[in-house]
Amino acid sequence: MYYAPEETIDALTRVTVDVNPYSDTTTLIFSMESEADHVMTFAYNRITRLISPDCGTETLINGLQIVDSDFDSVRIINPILLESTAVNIEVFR
Amino acid sequence: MVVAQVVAQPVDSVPAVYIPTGIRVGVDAITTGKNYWQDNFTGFEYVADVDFYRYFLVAEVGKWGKTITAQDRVYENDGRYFRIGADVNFLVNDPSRNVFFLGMRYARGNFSETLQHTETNPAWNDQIVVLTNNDIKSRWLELTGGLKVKIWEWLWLGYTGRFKFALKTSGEGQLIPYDVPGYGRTFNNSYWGFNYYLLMRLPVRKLPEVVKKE
Repeated sequence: MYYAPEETIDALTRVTVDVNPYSDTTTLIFSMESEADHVMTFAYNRITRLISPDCGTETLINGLQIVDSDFDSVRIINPILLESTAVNIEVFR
Repeated sequence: MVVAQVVAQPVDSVPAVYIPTGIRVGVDAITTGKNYWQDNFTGFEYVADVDFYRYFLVAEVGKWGKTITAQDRVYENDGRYFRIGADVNFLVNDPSRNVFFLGMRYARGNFSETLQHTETNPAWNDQIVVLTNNDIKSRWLELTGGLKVKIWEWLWLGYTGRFKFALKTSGEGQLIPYDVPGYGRTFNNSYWGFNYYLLMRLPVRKLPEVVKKE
């Protein structure tokens, strides 16, 4: 799977991506001009709650973990995904 | 010199004999009626009790299934449950043998549920998602109170009010249980319930005589 932000970012310090809500894993491919692509796959748990038939559902994603990565170092900061600016994964290269 | 004498005052009473006098079985009219006045409900509930002087051993079994449709969502569940507990009768000396009781129940059940809905996601496109929980176990506690009144010979009517609490479920998957048969919606920490029973009492021995006040 591949996710491409609409804008190309020169000095990447932070990126927000949508994980695949239909799968327990998401693979991101980081394409950079100055070096080879990097690939990172992470897994997570999805829990869906029906708030009410009229209000709909909400899906909670937690248990974030790195399955595969070719970055020098990857660290989970917060395993619970929220719609906020909290950092979930730190990547070092 | 003062002489005091204690004289026992006779009152209406029933000798405390802890041998059952009969079995009462019944059906819940409200749960049965929902089959007719609610399009999305199927179910039943039966009750039975046995008397031990002023105490009743009570067992209740039931089933319910619901289909709830709204917008692009369909939720369905189906399951069975039972409750077992005891009631204390506070009208033990009533000549008509009517029962006003308070009691407690321990309830267990198992059920399955399915939710079909359309997930909206701008990055990964919209998709119809079907989530299913099979064989979820549930348990909860109830405080009960109510009345059972003799209408004619072996025919009784009665109602039970319930305060349901301490719900626990296990065995769920990706879908958080939404509606537990016998309990109700899971997001309520407590729930009120009400049953109206049509009962039949099957005697197994003669009722002890009520001793009349002189």
